Amino acid sequence: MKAAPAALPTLADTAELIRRREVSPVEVTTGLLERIERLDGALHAYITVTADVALRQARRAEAALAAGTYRGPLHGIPIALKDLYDTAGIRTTADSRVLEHNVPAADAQCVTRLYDAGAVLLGKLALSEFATGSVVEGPFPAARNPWNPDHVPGASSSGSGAAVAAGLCLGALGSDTGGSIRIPAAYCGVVGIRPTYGRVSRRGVVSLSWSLDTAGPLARTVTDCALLLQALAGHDPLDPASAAAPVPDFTAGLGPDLSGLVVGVDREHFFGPFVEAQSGAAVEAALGVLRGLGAEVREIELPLLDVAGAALNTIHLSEAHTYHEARIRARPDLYGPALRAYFRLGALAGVADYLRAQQVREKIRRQMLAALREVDVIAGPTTGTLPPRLDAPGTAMVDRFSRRSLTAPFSLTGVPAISVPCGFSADGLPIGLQLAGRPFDEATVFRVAFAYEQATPWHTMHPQE
Amino acid sequence: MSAPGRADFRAAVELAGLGDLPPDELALLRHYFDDWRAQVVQLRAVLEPADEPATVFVAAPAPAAPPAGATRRDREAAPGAGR
Repeated sequence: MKAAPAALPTLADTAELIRRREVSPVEVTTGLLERIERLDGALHAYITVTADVALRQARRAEAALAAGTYRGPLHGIPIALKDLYDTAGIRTTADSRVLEHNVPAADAQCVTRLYDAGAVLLGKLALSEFATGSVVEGPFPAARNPWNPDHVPGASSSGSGAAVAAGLCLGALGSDTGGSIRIPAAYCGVVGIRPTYGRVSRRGVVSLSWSLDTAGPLARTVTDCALLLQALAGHDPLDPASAAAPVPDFTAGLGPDLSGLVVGVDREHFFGPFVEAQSGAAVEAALGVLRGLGAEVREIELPLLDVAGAALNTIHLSEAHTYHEARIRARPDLYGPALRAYFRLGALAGVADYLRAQQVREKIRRQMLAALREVDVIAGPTTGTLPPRLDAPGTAMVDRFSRRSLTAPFSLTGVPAISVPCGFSADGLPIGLQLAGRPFDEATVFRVAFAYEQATPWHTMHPQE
Repeated sequence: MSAPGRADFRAAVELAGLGDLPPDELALLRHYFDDWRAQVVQLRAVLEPADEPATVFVAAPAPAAPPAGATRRDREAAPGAGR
């Protein structure tokens, strides 16, 4: 399941080669388009490949370099977008029949920021219908896991995880409502960060649950994710949730030493019998690595996480219903059966249910922030399960309420959380380590993830072609 | 709407105007509803009387005002603005 190292260049390595003009943006883009042509027929990571746009942007990036203009580490770097980011003149479907022929007039703010940084758009990536859980009822084929195509790549940013892992782009944008960046990152053996709620604009991103939705990147290394977030982060006065928080240099503090840092572990909620043995063992080993790098690993207790799933699900289904209500009444046939029923469920929730969930959310947030005053990050598995088979029972929408989510607590509280590869199962399926930090302190989350990544070999391993 | 009404599937469905759904769609909705209600009762258990009026969720810093020159279209295009 593991190919030779160096089969896939990183974003940062490619950026350095472009900066030194040892490789051109057109060469990099052409190589990736050829790779997509060769491999994506089996993976279905892309819904739309924008080859003409990519080559035009790459030529422009090359011309700018020739003229002495270098925009920074994303200059000429080919990336791809989960197909719920608006792209002017390019179809944006959310893998839904509702938006199957939707061509936005304007770019999402994230897309504008990436273009301003010099990035090249390879295409739009698969997702579950309207970014909802593991639903695969949309009009486009379900993406497959590059480590084993019989298994899911994780949801809802399924194409983002698959494309990054398979080397079909140098970085991708996903979106994370309850775990939809971190879960595909874990299942595909790549890095994905859900930034602090409010850190990245969601203007022009199809909404699912607006008090939870967060835009963010996936890439093959921590450094690559930090470089992408650097371009994305910043206040957008036209996104009501956007925060006017200062944006630090996310790569400045990356290094091998974690002396003085405290890593919190809540065993009750992140290491119970709901975590498969191989995943638990890999994360326990990761905690040992963090200790070896100088961090103190300290037990913490977050008892209110018992109800995090109940609060998140109630908020999620209520807000999603509100967003879709008019369309689902007018054209229910345009929604898949499972998603249609889930979105209708929000009509059965009362105002009191929603407000009570928000009240509980705030109590959980206060408990989480109190813990994060005692520790610098909280660590645990990203998921309790290995990537399920595509046809496995338990991956359907219908089991949503019985599954324990290890990503939900950080979604609910709006703190930044990253998934970084921490091993493989006996069958060669990836396992993810989740690290969450204080609001707007992505820098510390990156620091811990980077030190761990550089001390371990997982980021050098790639799926066989 | 009172909690007992919302806790009853048939009453909730009628109130939501979904009573005429086909039986197979109602059955799936019922399945979701029962699973979700089993979860949602947990929320009341962790709230204390003092929380009820006092606990207000704040997900992010206060929204910034749109800049001078922002158009109505800009405001409506913002997330959560009914796009």
